[in-house]
Amino acid sequence: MITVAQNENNAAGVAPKAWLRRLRNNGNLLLGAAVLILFLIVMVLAHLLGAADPQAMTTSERLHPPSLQHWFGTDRLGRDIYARVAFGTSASLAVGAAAAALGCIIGTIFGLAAGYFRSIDMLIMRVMDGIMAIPGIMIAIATISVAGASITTVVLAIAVHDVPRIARLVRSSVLSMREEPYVEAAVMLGSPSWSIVLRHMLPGILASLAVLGTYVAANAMLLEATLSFLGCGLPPDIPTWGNIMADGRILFRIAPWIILFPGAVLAFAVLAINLLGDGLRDQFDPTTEKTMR
Amino acid sequence: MLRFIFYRLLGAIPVVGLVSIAVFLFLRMAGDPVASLLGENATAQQVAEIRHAMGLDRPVMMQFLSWILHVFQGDFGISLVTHEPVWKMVSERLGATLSLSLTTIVFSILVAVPLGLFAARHRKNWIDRLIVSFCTAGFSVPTFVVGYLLVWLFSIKLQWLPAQGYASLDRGVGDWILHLIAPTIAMSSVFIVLIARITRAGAIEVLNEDYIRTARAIGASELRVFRLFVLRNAAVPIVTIIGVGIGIVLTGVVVTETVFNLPGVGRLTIESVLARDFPVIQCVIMLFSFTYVFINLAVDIIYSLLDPRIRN
Repeated sequence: MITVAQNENNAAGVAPKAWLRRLRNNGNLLLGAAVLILFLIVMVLAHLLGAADPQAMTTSERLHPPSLQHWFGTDRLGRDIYARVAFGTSASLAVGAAAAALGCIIGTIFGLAAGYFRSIDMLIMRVMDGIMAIPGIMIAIATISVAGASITTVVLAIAVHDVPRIARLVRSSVLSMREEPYVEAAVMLGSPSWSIVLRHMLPGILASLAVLGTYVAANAMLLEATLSFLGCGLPPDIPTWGNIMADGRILFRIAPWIILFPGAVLAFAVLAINLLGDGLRDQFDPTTEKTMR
Repeated sequence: MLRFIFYRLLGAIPVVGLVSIAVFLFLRMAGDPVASLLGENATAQQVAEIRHAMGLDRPVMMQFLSWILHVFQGDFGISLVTHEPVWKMVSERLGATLSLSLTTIVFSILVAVPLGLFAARHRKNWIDRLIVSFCTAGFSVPTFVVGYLLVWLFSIKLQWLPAQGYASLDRGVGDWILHLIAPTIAMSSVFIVLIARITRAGAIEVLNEDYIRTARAIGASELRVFRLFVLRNAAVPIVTIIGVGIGIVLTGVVVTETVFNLPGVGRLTIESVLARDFPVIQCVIMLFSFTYVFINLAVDIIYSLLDPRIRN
């Protein structure tokens, strides 16, 4: 689905000016990056200034609707939802980034192996098909129910689901690269397999991997929030966006803001990451027709 | 054609096998079923007896074979919590889940395909850009947030729809539909975006073909061009994405049923995870995965009917 030309890296090196010009006209990339930076600033400020304590309970201010004092309202313990959301930013972003990074690393290893060593291709890809057949949320729920809920298991559970997609992309890139003259030349010169794979093939995949990895990160954040919301995610004492919303489930009729405001923030963050992904794709490969949005 | 179906069926077997092994091992990792059945006060002799009765003293390979034989007879064991047969618990919940999935698939296709074609028709003007932005945004909003937004708007503010719950078909079609409207829209949000994007991309590609220009040149009406040429040639990617997207529908079932309090398999999943009722979780994972595999099998067969070139 994501087709980034293999040789774009070189093109970028040859014409940095054109690359910069493209960057300036790349609205998606700039907008996505700007919103993400905004989130990072809010996160740092929340920790530095500590304007409102996310755990502070004010019993006289329970379930207050949004106001100038409490932008997003308060929850059933009188805690400020905005403060909780601001503090939750780091956990939510970190889980998304970690799961995507882990998924990319494992998926790349499997994809490189399957694409280069033809003897294990069949085995690896059938296992990937098997993982793909189980809906991501099911893998995550099953893993967490067996291994218990902690940051490590949640990240791992989300990453497992993304491995096959990445492995498929990497494998198909490797398969087409095998025919490239520079790879054939390396084989002729007797380079060892690891050197061919790591030095000649991996750099050619990085651009497409960055694009897919960005989409995977966005998806991982959604999955983490969904899991926490269902009560199967991170332990409830960590204020991730999903956990804040889970608190609001039974109170939705009287206090809809507990779910709607963090939900909107989550949607904005994920949208920003998706835009970043679109932007990266256009940046790396200007020839892609903008049809696959 | 039969040959193609045969080979495609053959290809599904390893996947089904791998999923079964994974699910079997999953129950193994979840801990000793005897310990959870008998509790902490069981004597060593009791444990040994039960282990023998359940066949747990046999080699793992034999256990797997006997388990899989039982599974194919619809015997998924006994729930650790309610002590009812697992398959009975799951099958009682199928009605709501099937209803919701079917309405979602039908509704999504009815909305998304025309939306995608419409965007392709108006390519590069504001209509197209609006639809594309809507798609990017729709992909970023989690299903449960859409669900709660609908509850808030239509059930609490406007009071047009019942807030939660499910009415089975035997209580009347009207009631059934009324309870499914909001969950269906919530669950469709992601699916619509997915299908609309692919439809648009496929249609744009087809619209550049020479035969479209020819058709227009000989005076075929726009409706005829789209119905006869564009939709037909863009159908393969659309059908494929519907198959792949079934994973999204299955995920949506778990979330949406929780938001709208529908007594379906998705809610059962969450209930059993929270109660650590592993046989039920196992059965649900098998059910969902096999559904995914077989729907994709059906999709492959359907598009080999749509496009004879694929058969070879």
